[in-house]
Amino acid sequence: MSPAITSTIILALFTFIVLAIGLFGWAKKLDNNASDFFVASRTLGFAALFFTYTATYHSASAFLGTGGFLYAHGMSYWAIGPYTQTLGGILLYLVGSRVWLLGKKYDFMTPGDLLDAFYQSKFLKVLTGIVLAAFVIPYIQLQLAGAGWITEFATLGAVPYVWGALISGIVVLIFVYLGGMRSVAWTDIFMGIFMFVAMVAGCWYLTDVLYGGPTQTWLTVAEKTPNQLLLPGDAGYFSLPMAFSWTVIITIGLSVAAPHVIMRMFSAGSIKVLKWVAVLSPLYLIWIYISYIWFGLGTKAVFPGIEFPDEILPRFLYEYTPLVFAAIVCAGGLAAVLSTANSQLHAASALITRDVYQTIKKDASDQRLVSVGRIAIVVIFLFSFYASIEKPPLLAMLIALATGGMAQLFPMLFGALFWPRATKAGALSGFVVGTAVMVWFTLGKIDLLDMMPGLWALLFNAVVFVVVSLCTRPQPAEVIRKFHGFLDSNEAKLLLKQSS
Amino acid sequence: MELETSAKTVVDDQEEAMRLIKKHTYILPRTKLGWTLTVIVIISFLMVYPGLIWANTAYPFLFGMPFTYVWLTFWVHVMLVAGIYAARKLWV
Repeated sequence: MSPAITSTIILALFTFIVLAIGLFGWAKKLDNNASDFFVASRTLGFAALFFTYTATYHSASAFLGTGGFLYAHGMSYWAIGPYTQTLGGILLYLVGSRVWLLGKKYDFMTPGDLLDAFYQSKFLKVLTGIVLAAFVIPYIQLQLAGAGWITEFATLGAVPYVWGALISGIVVLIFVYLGGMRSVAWTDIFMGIFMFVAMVAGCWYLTDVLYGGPTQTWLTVAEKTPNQLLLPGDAGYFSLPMAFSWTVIITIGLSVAAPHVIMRMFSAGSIKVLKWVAVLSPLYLIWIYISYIWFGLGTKAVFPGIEFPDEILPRFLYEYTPLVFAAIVCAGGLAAVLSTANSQLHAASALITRDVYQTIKKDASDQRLVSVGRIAIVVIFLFSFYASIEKPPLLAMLIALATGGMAQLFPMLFGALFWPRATKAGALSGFVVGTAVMVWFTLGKIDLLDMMPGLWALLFNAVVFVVVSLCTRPQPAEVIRKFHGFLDSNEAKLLLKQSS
Repeated sequence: MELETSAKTVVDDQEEAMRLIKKHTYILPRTKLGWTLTVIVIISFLMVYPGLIWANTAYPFLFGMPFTYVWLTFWVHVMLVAGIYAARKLWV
């Protein structure tokens, strides 16, 4: 059998298993209503929530972009990634426990539902829905591009880029369309485990074969590219302020404020599940890279001058390991891609349906909402697929920009959960200023004090949010009682205890 | 008369809102253990930002690994353990 056919069969088999599990999730649905479609009727257990959170977190950028990042910037990666994941886990509980309580009490399903109820602003709900969807769509586009790229590479060109992106995308489309959150969670369990084993094993094998094991790799790196063991690394980009700004923005943007993460907070079956997912997820998120860091740094030391460092993992797998092993690890890469694409597609559909459509069409029935959600999934998929045909770069840099945009939700979310003095005017003006600064600094390539645009946008956002809130009339007493009064009440404590 | 009643209602609502704001605003930890774990997490973060100014060196190698790697791995695991301890002892 030719190598191309062997590889294609392995990838096809993997894709078929994902589709079968997605359809199984659809068959396991409890109901046909919007709650089941968008938040799995708030019944996700530990394994489902753990893997849907972690597998969604690591995307095309984890499998491909991490190689490029380590190759270019060295140890800076270890100063950013693990800290965003651990701090993110702690914030996931601190913010998530309140989001979960309010969701259970008032039947919230999206960030817009919660923000609208506190700030009493349909405009804010629609605005955040549209802006967040706008930041999520490029993310889906990147995943489809990653799927196309991995498929083309792993099948040795037998399945071209466009077909790879299309077929993978359609598989995701089918099970997200039918099963919603439940199918997403089921497939993420399988893909989460698969990608962890594949990435750790693939990089470990390569480290052993090419560089003689971890200790020898460290010694080689120290001898040949010593700057890669320090900040800012050979490329000189990650000064301490830059690494700090990345850490803050990715922590907030990817672990707390991203719409799909907030929807997972709503989906938890109990507070106990959410709590353990929050503190144990960093173990998965950090240690999936344990061998990638050796391989990435070692490759720069031994093979300098590689033109496309984003390709190092699949390329070296196919050059230096048995074909079947290389194809299985690349299927793990596909798992990283698809497990993010499914969640983002689902979250973007929820934002459009709940936050935009339902706000305009208040009397829409539950069935109608599910139908609109499904139509949104198809439209967003087609739009993202069309955009991915242009082969966007798979750099981790693009993910950081998208998370900077999503992080702009955080101040108003913080206000609704922790600071009752927050007001509608404060939330709106902070969000608009933050998003505008984000776009302005990014497009204008403004580099202020060597920190990324997202951090400046978040600072402007927070200052405007606080100042305007203090200068305007507080939210009505009834609303504060409904939110912060409830969070402090015995009813909430009882709800927490019952579910723990 | 109607206008006066409506204005009074608005003032009453604002006063009640301010009372509730005072009652329900808390951002800092409320227990000794909460404070201790928060301080541990903050110190761990400070060990990297700005601690890396002093710890940004490959030597000495510890357990066969460069100093920066050991330093970064150690402090992130201190945070991780603080989180797990909070989950066991502090959080509901």
